[in-house]
Amino acid sequence: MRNLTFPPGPRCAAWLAAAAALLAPAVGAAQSAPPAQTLEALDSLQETLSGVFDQIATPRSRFKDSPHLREAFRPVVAGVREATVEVRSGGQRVALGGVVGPDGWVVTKASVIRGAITCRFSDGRELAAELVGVDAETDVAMLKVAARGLPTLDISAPELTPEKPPLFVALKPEIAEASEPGRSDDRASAGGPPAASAEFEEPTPDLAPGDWLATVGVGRDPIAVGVLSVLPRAIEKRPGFLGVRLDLEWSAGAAAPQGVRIESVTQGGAAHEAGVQDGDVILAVDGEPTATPEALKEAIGEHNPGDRVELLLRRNDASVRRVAMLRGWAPNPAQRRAYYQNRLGGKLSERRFGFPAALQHDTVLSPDECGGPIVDLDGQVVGFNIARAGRTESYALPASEVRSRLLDLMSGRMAPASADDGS
Amino acid sequence: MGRWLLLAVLAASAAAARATPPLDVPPALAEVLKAEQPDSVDDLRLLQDQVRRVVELARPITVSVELGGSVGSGVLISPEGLVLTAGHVCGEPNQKVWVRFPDNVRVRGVSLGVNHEVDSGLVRITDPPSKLLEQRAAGAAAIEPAGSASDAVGPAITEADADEWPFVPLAEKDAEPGDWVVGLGQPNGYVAGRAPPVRLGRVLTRRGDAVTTDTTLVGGDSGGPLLNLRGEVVGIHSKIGQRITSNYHVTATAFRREWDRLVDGRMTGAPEGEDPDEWRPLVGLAVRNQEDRVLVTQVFPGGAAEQAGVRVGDELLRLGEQQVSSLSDLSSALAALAPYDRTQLELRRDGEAVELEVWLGRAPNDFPGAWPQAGTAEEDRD
Repeated sequence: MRNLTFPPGPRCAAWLAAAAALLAPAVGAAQSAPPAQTLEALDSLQETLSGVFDQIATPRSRFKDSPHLREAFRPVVAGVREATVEVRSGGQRVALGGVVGPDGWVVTKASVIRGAITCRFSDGRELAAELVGVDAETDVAMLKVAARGLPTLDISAPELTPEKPPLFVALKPEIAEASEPGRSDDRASAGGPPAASAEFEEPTPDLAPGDWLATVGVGRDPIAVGVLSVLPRAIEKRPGFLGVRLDLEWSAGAAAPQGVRIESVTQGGAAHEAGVQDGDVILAVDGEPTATPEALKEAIGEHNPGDRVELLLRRNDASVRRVAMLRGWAPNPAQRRAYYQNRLGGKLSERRFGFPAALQHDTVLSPDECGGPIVDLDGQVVGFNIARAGRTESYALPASEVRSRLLDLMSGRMAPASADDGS
Repeated sequence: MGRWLLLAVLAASAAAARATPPLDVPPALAEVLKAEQPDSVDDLRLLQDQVRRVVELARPITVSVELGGSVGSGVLISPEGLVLTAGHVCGEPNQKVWVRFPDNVRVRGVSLGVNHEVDSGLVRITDPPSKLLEQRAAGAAAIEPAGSASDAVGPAITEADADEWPFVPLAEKDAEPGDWVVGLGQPNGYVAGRAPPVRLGRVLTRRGDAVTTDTTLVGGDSGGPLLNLRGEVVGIHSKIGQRITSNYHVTATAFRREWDRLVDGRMTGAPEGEDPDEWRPLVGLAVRNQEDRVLVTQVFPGGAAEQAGVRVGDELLRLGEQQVSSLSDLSSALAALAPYDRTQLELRRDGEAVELEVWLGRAPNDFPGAWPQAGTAEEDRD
């Protein structure tokens, strides 16, 4: 019976277009997974044809995020922007931040902070800032600048409850009433409304999917605007990777192993970028000894891509410290395609996975526009942007999530072990 | 016979999809929309209130469409459970699919028509709505403590009597540049605990069967709905380009123009990377020529003939327009047909003439033995 329906070959090819999820980004995408570069070139070519026309034909004012539309949000962000800062390093903005205490307390996104930083305020002042606390779980950092009487964000917004899955309601409510009179009588005598209609009578929520959210900067108009996509949920963690091949025999051969020898460092990987070399022995990660390959894998894997870890190395009998920013890894074609597609249209934050709770919105941000407050149409601070996470999504930590960590962040108990690269 | 009835029902649903839009646009908002864009916070709030309504309406019926190793999105478009999606999500007609709702409950479906030229596709949910509601009730019972479970489940089971799916209608008119649109779908595939993410944007350009918007899309969104402010489907997500504003959607009128072929389960064009000329229709049976009679010797499991009800021993009389009394007749009959055509098959069984409707399959030209070469095949082909 060879001739049952279809041979597998052509069908698999057809699946790839859809499977690998899905959207063929323009011509030639379905040809059995060409390298990303090829796709990119094809895309660019195709887009120059239609794109040139589109750019001429589309007035700037037509975009959702047009300057004119952002101007309509001016009253909404008026007060909040005075408590918003640009976090700068090396003459460039690396993040936005929000003032949470009048004595110079500023929260921002931790993983983008490196080296000497300043905070620039809406009045033009630029003050040196010190990194005093980092919460690895949420990637929030607390900065301190020498100032008093600063305008402060109101982050008292009530906790946002996660969404229940949206269900369509009773298809034919009249059937429910007709079928079992005894039951509906019971319900009436209990004084409660029928279950189905109760859904409609719920008070209008303060914040619902589809609501406007403005990302506040130090200027008069918001930096960007978008809508709430999904109310807060836990964002799944992904394992971080160092990009090294371990010499498993070396560690196993030692009577009392004290470290893990690196056989080779992957070109362009996290370890390579940090200056780790072939033959180095990793003794500890963030101060925790890693005597065996298992211990090392666990210490690295519990971090997210985008996290920085401090490695204690032994190289030719000398101790060396290096800070590596972990990477993600996309082992199969579908994951690589997803990674590729999510980066079409702009850069993503390195640290964008693994948050205890984050609301998702569709505002198009660049990584250096994260860290600051977002507000709803009432000017209420609903959260802090924490990651540009994909082509369709930005994440914000709910205000309540940040609020509950403020004291710990200010206390000095969460002071970063190593604020700078190496020593 | 049964299939024709079904088709009649489906055709009626196309008419149902031409129903009135589910949402009114309040006069104050209509006034705001006349201007090039909202000018004040009040304007923005009017727009926001309407977007909320669209989201409440369409989000619960925005689904994942899953087959094989792939997953796309879709939206319910008729009370009979028709689901609009993108052509490349299904790939081919007559494929078994799972349709997954936002609460992770899934029902069975089958892909109908696929048009690869415009990237439009249609799926029909084959399970009744009660199937979904039963699963929900079971899920609720599992979560609720024993005491309260009966109260919580009661109304849901009653709802299971309902035989209609909720849906949003397909718009009569396409969206125009400047129109505000809401995008839904399952970007990056279904994520447990995440409701379909809402995106808002405006139509930027319209060319042929596609509109572009700044409603952002990514893999997994394919087939998801683009809705206007009246809650009508004006587009189905299709593809993306390099720029963040390069988001392409198949227009509602492209679906309408091809509606009959989509409902009928036809395939137009071929999946990307395939040459339509390399494929031919497949009935899924083997025959033997006995004098001037063509007898069925095998019916292949899951094939078109089996689905139509052909049995071993049936004598073929006619396929499509062509009378069949030899293998070469059968060959020329098939040559006049295309993969996934629906055609009539007349046969004689126990002395009685029987007419069946066959939804043809597809096989590659070089598929050994699948095609009767005139003058060569004499005996069983298997």
